[in-house]
Amino acid sequence: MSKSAGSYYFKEGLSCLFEMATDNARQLLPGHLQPLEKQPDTSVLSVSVFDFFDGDAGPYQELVLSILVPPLIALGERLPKAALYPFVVATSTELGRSQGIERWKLPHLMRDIDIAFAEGDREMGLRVEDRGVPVLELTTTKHTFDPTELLFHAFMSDSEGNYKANITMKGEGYSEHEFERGALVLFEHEMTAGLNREEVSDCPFREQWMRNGVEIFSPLETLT
Amino acid sequence: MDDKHAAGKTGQGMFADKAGKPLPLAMQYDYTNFYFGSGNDPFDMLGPFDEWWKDAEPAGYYLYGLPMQGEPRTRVDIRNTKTGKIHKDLLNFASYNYLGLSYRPEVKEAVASAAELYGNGASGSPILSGSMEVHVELSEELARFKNKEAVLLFPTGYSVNVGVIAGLMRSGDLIVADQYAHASLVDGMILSKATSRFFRHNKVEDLERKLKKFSGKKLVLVEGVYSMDGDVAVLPDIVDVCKRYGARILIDEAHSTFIYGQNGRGVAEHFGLEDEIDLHVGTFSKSLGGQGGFLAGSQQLINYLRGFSRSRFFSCGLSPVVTAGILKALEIFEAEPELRDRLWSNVEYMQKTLREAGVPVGQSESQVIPILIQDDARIFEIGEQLLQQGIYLNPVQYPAVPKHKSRFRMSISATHSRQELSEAADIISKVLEKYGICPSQPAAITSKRG
Repeated sequence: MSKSAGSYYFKEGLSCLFEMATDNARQLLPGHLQPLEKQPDTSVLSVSVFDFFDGDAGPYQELVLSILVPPLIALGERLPKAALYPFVVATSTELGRSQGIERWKLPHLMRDIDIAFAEGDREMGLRVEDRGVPVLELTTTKHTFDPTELLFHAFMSDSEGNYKANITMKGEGYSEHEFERGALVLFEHEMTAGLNREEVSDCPFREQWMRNGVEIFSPLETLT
Repeated sequence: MDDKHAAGKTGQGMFADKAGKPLPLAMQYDYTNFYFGSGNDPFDMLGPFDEWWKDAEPAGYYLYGLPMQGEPRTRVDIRNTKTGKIHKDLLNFASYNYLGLSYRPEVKEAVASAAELYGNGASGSPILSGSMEVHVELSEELARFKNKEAVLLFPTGYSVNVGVIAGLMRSGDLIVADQYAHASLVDGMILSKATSRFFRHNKVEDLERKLKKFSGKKLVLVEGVYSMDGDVAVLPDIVDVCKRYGARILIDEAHSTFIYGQNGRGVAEHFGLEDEIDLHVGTFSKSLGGQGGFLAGSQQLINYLRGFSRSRFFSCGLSPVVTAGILKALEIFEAEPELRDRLWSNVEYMQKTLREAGVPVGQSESQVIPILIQDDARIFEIGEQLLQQGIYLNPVQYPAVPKHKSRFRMSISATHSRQELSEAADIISKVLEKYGICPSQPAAITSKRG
């Protein structure tokens, strides 16, 4: 796999989508973004975990909690699969964290986390901890794995402005389904403090699993 | 992209299927991709959508809304809008004319007589000049049939749910619906401005979770038979939870009235829970083969909603012509219980035949039988194959159903002959076998009646 700038190579990339209350989603979004509603009053929380083995920030693990938002679609441009606003990110290394903050303006937990993966015949279970304190437990189940390439819009925001990056995800294997077999446990923690945990479903309505892939960031665009 | 990834790439930089066959560009997107667009002009989205539609329509979307050339009988002629060809004598499993009443000679005679007496339309809102004797007669007959104090007629099934929910619930109230609730129920929730929540399909523990932390006015929305899966609401458990938390219940029996229950009053009758349900919704477009819908309930409820159901108040009344046809269809339904016997016999036969052939039909217990294809990218291709082989079935794909749960929704009618059912099962299983979908693991037979 040839390397290029803004590229992060991973062995496992898991992302599950959960229903959450729209009023809670609005609290987590900056003013210029609206939550994408799955159903009335029901928005979408994305829980993503990556096990990076190479790339700009070297090997590290990452947890990303995002709210799904409408993408920016324009004539002649490739349609994205989805758009999201990461409201908190945590990594297992300082390098991963500093690059995420400086280069991609992503809000981070300022400590290293630990992610333990446990793969079974039909699922991947994982547990995220912060210095021994549980953050969340996630189980993603398998469907068929096929090669794929997907485009996402990621929105970021800080005190100086609002930004967007196109993220291309390519994987040798990608599995996606809505069989409602996975599970999520959110623990009381700094990362989940903004979430009304009682209103977040404990079963993902969509499960996505990419293996042996690369996450490629386009240069950050400043939104006017 | 490196060589390994390129294995899945087509000339357009997109996907291929497992066999390496490129998928049409259009199949990589669906309606959900065009809901939001950038720019300040609401028409900005039309260009990207049109660009997609030019590929999507010939790639399979043309299979929706193919013009039928006559009555929705068990065999129909359909015009293929892609080729212009008329497909003759297709076996029709797409129409929900469950009892074959839409084209009964007696119904057509009643329709003709009503046209002679009333003309075509009601020419007014039902609350003003759009109520005619035939509407009153149908309301009274339906109230008697449903064993309820009163009935309110609506111009469509959709408008019943929208009008009733928004007419009753207010901002600050809570509405909890099954996640598979029909769009009309969902739109009623939106219009009401009440807080909306959804519970996982038929999972009462999730319903309880949603209800227990809320104090205030609560309404729970369920369907009798779910229109995409053909399974039945777990009504006893739902009623139990709702009673414990003081929630009112609306049941939409669009696909179960005139089919379930000893007298055909629906799933609520089937479970002996008619008095526990507060709002009974039904339609005329399914088993009675007409158009429109109704709410049955207490006289007080009907009195109130007559003034607050805006979808009825601000629509023209049901056409008196259609109303007369529905009235006659109801009369036939009650006079010919053998119609339902024949339907259930056909349902049991078809469920058994399909399951034995290994056709995946999910958990259906009713005349709505999903043929589960799962492969979202191939459903249209399979639909075309079925059309070529003489079967008319509508594909259903994401977002109408979850991802990888694409299916054909098969509607069984009392008027299908055994030979037609057998022929269809044979064609379906052979086409699905070609795609590696059939035979699946045979499942238990679960169809049941009142």
